Amino acid sequence: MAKKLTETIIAKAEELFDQVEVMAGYSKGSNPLKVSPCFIEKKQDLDQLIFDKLCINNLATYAYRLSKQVKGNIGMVLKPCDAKAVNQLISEELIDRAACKMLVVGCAGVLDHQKISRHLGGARVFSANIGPETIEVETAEGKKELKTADFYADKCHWCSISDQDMGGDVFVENQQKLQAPKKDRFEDVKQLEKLDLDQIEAYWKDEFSRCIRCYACRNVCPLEVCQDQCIVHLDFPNWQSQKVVPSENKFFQLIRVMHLAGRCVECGECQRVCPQNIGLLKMMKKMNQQIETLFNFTPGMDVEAKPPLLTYKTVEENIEEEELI
Amino acid sequence: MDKTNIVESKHVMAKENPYLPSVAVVKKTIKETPNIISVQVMLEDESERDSFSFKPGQVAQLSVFGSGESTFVINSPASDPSMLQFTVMKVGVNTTAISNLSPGERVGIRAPLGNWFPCQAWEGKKILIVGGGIGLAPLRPLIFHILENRKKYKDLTLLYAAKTPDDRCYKADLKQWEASKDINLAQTIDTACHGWDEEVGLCPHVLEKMKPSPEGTVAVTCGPPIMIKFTLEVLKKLNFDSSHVYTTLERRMKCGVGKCGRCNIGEKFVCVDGPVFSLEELEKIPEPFI
Amino acid sequence: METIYTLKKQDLKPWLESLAQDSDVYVPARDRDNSLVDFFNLSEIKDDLGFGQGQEKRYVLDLVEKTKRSPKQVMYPHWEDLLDFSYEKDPENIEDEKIKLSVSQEAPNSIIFGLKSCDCQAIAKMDAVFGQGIVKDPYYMKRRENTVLISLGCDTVFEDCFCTAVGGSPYGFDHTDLGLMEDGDHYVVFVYTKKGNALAQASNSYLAKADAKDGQDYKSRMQERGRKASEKMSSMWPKTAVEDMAEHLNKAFDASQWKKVSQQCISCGACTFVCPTCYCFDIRDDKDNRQGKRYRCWDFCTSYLYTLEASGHNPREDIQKRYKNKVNCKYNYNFQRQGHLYCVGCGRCVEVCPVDMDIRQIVAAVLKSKQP
Repeated sequence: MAKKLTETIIAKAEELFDQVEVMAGYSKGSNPLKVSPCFIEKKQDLDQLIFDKLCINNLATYAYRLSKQVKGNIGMVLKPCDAKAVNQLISEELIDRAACKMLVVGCAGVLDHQKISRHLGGARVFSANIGPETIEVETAEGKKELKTADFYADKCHWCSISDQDMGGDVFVENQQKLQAPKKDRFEDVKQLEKLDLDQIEAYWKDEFSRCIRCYACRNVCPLEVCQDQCIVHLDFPNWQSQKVVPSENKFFQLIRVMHLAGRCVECGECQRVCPQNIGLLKMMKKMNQQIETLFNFTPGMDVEAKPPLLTYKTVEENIEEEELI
Repeated sequence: MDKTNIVESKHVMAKENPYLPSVAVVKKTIKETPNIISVQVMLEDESERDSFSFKPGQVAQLSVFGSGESTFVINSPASDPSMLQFTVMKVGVNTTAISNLSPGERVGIRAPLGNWFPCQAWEGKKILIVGGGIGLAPLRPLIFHILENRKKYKDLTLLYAAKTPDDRCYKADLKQWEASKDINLAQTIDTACHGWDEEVGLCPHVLEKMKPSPEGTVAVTCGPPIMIKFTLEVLKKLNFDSSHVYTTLERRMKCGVGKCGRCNIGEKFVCVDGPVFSLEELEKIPEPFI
Repeated sequence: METIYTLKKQDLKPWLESLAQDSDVYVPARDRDNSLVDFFNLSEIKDDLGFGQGQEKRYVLDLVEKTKRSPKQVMYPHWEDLLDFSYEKDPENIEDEKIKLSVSQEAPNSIIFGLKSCDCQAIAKMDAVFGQGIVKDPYYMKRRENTVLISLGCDTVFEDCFCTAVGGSPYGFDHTDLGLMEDGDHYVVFVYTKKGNALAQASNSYLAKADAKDGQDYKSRMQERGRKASEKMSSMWPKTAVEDMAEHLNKAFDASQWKKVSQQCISCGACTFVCPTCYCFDIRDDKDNRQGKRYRCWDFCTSYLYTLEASGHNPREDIQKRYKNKVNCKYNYNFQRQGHLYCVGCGRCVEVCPVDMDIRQIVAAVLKSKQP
C-alpha cells in the first residue's frame, strides 16, 4: 500500500517539479523506525521520496526558511495537518501563496517512532514492517509483533481534518483512512484543570525542572520564524536569563505560548522533539481552546482569514470589557 | 613566531581564576568619531598595576558589570602599561555601556590575552601597515613600538583608510605622524569630499597603486573583514610572501583562555593561538577566516 | 591497585546509601512519570527510588539503559555563577562608586555510579579541555577533583551506540576509579586509581576482597566479556581509522555533500546539550539594580547567534557552515588540538535529533564524497 502511495507521490511531484526550485519531502531515515526530511533539487532525485506511516515530521518547519533561501518556488510534501501550518504562514503573509507549491497527501495517521522505540527499550531495530493493524519489528531478540494502534502520534487521536479541506496545489488520495482510535483532544488539559492551583504549579515546576533549554521546541515550530532574533536571547533589555532554572524555563515557554496565540496549528512537533519529554502541547491546547472560545477561530484553516490577534476590533463579540473608571 | 606561553609573562592572567577580572577606573574618554569612543583606564589595585605588562597586539576582556564582557585590543603604547586604552564602536549592548562610561566609573579587565605581534623577529625589516577604520586600534601599539625603537627597523609606512575624514580614529596621532619623518603616512577615504587633499578610493585599490615592494618588508593589516580580504589579495598580487603578511583577527570570544570554544577558526582558537596570525598560518586552515 | 572486590547485589542499595552520607551520589534511574532515564542525586529521590522492577515507586534504578542526558552536568553544570559583583558607594566620598567582586563555589564530594564506558571516556576528554591548556578552569577542576567515578561494564548495544567505531569499548575502564562487572548475584569491583582504592577501603562492610586466584579469574572473565561486547558492537559498525579522520575531513572541507547533509538541521541545541563531550559556553551578566552575577551557561554552535558579532558580521551565518564546524570540531579540530576525537560514540545526539540527523552516516557520506 505504502509503496503504491509513494509511487503516486513521486509521479505527482514530477509533474509539479517544473514549477519549483526545491522540493521538500520525506526520504529513508537513519534507522527503520525513522524517516528523514530531504530537499530535492534535481528531478532525477525525486525517487528518493517515500511516504509511509512514519512520516511524522511536519515539513512546514522548513517552509519559511526555504522560501527565503531560494529565488524560485518551493514545493512541499505535506500531510493535511502540516498544510495547516503552511496556510497559517500564508495568511500571515510570511510566505507567498504563489511561491509555495503544496503536494498534500491524504493521511491515515502517523506513528510516533519514539513510542515504539521506548516500548522496545531502545533496542536496535534491524527491520520494521508497518501495516495498518500490526507492526513487525526485528531486534537482536528476534521478531516481535506490535499493535499499530498503540503507537499513533497523539495528534492523530483527535484529528478531525477532512483531506479535501487542505487540497493544496496537488492532492494525492490515500486509500487508507484514519485508523487511530479516537480520544478527547482536551483530556490531559481537563485532568490538569481538576487540580488546584498549587498542584498545577507543582506539576509545571516538575516538568520545567527537566527543561534543558535546547530550543528544539522553538526551532522546530513552523510558525516561529523569528528564532534567530528571539527575545529570549536579547541582551537589552535582558528579559530572560540564560540560567536554566524551572521559573526561567517556564517563562520561556509562556513567551512561546503567547507568541503562538491564535497561530498554533497544534502539529505537536514541539512536544515530539522535546528530548526531556515535557508535555508542552497542553499549554498550546489550552491557549487554542481560549482562542476558539473567544474568537471562534482555528488557525491554519483558511488562508484568507486574518488571525484574531493580528487584527483589531473596537468591540469583540465574546469579550466582556470591564468598565474603565 | 613568538610563541611564548602567555602564562609565563607577568600579568593578571596568572591569577588562579582566569575568569575573575581586575577592577579598573576610567580616567578619560575620547570621542574619536560620531560612534567610536576611546576609553582610558587604570587598574585600581596598585600592586596589580605595577606588575602589569602587555605586548602590542594583545587583547583584553573589558566589562561593564551588568552588561557583559567583550574583547578589545589594548591600543595604548605597551611601554606604558599603567594606562590602558580601548577603542570601541557603539554597536551592541556592551559597547554602548562602555561608550557611556565617564571618568571615575569602574570596569572589569581580564588581560592580557592572546598572542602579540612578533616585533623582535621583524627587526631590520621594512614595515608596511594597512589599517581601515577602527582596525587601526590593534596596529596603534605596534606603530608606537616601532617609533620608540625606530633604529631597529627600516622604513615604516602606514596606509590608513576610512569612509570619510570624520570616520578616522586617533586624529591627534595621525596629525603627529603626518609631520614625523619616522613614518610615511598615506591616508585615503572612500569618496572625495571638500577639503580632503589626500588619496581617495578603497584601501586595497590605493595599496595596489602605491605598489610597495615586498623586498624585506613585513605587511600587517587590520580592518573590517571585507577590507582585510581584499588587502590580502592585493598583497599576494604584489608578491608578498604569506609568511611576511600578518593580520589580527576577531571572533566572538568569551573566556579568552581557550576553554569556551567559541572563537575557533578551524582548529585554532583566536584567543590563544591568535589574535595575530600570519597569512601562512591562516592559509593552512581549511575554514575561511573572513 | 591490583585489589579486586566483590559486592553482593543485595548490598548495592545499603552501600550506595552509606556513600550518600558524605557525598552526593548520582545514580542512573528511570523516572516512570515521563519514562526518562537520567542521573539523579540519590539523597534527593531516595524515598521514591526502587532498586528492582517490581516496586511501584516513581524512580527505578536502571543500570542497563543509557541516560538521556550525559553525566557531564555533575562537574560542568548547565550554568554556574563565576562571580558576584556589587556597586558600593564609598562612605568617605559619596560620588565614588566602587565595585566589589566575590567568588563562591560549591564543590561537594560527589560519586557518579553506574557510568558507562563511553561516559567515562567523555569525562577524560572534558578533563583535557578544562585541566590543560594555558590555564586550568578552577570551577570545573574543583568539582572534578571531588568526584569519584564508578563505571559498570556495558553489555547492551542500543539503537544509536557506536563506541567501538570511535576507539572506545564497552568495558573500557581506563578513566574510571572503580569498574564494576555484573556477575550473577554479585558485582565484581576492579580498582583502578588511588581515589577508587580509598573508596573501596572505606566500604569494607560491603565490599569483600577477592583472593588472588578468584581475582585472576575475574580479571580474565572481565576481559573476555569486554572482548565479546566489543565484537557485538563492531559487527554493527566498522571501525573507522580514528587517526586519519582529521586529515580526511580537512580534504573534504569543501565537499559538496555538506550542503545536502546539513540542510535539514533546525539549528537547535538538543544534540549539543545531551552530548557528553560538548563543552562550549557563554558568559553573561544578570544584574538586578546595583548588584548581580556573572555566570556561564552552555551554548550551542549550531545557533545563528553563536558567532554573530556585535557589528552584525557573522562568520557562520548559514547552517551549512555551522554544522560543518560542529562535525569538524568533534572529529578534526579537537583531534588536532588534543589528540583525541571529541566523540565517544554514545549516540545520544542521534537519538534526540528532531530531524533524524545521524552523525555517523553524515561523516561517512562526507568522507566518501571528498571531491568538491
